[in-house]
Amino acid sequence: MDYNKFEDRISDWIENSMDIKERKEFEQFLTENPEYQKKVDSVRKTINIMKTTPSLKTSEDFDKKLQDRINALSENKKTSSGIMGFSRQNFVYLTLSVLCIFMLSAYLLQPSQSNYFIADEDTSSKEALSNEDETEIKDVELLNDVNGSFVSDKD
Amino acid sequence: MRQNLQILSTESSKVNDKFKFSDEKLILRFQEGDINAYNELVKRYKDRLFNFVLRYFNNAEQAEDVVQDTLIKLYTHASYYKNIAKFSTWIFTIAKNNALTELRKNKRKKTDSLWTEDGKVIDINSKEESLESKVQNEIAIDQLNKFLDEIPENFRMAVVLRDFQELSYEEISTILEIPIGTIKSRINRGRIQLAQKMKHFKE
Repeated sequence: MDYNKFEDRISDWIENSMDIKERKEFEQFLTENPEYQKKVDSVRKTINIMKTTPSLKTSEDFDKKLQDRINALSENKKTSSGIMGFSRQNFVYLTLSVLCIFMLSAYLLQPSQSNYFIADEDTSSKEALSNEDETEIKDVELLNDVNGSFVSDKD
Repeated sequence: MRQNLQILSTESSKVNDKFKFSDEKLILRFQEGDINAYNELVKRYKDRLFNFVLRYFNNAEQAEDVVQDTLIKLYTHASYYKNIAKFSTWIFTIAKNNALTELRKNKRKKTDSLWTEDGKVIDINSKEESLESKVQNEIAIDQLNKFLDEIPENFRMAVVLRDFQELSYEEISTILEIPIGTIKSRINRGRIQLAQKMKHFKE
């Protein structure tokens, strides 16, 4: 075992967390280098001081301050509990969604929009009618031609 | 009369029961709405958290604010605790994160030593000690706390959690989010550095 390895294992030896082989190796090193025993002793002493150091306490009004903060939290919760069971944010989103649906419906169902549909229908029917007229006229012309030929034959 | 005694006995046993509950049991009871369970947890942890967070700031006021924030978070976010890790690991992790957030916001305030008699007297247990050893003990503790401040923060926090808070290596590893091997090494190094400073002080 070298010095670096020895130093790395000081806490493990103090806390008795080595296996038998490692422990023997460590103690062997200490035996061969008694000057390092002081180092181990000083670390152990420092740990003992830390473990026996009394803990500091919070201030006397700590509990009161904490309670005041909790009470303030509860108050805030009551005032911002929302509208109709919804939180404020959710209520805003809901309102906006309803408005959007309403506006879209209003746009689609407005009268100018329905007239446009009707006008299209009229136009197509007018077109259909004019086509029919043309056909009729052509038929009449054809008949006239045929009649005309009968008349000329007679003559 | 007998009825009153019975009532008293029931009440006192209820109170005593709180002390028998583990931290994990208490937090579960608080999650179910038992505010007394929360109060008991505050009582158990406020000083421990204070002593831990104090090592980040060396300022009692700042440390108390951070501990208050931690306990408020316990109050508002108790449902976040899942019975997988120990409660102490969870609450110390929150305290550590709050302390680091506060450190990032404000630089560490240097104040007069907390270890003097100004407002913060160390509460020494009155054991049967000679005056000399008592004084020596006080001085040693006083110096140790000053020397703790001088070692690197990553060593200091690991040592504090191990030797002051007496947490396991696994817990410390979870709280500080560092592998166990590194934790062990930092604790060892921190202890050696402290011991060296104490040795020079005595000399």
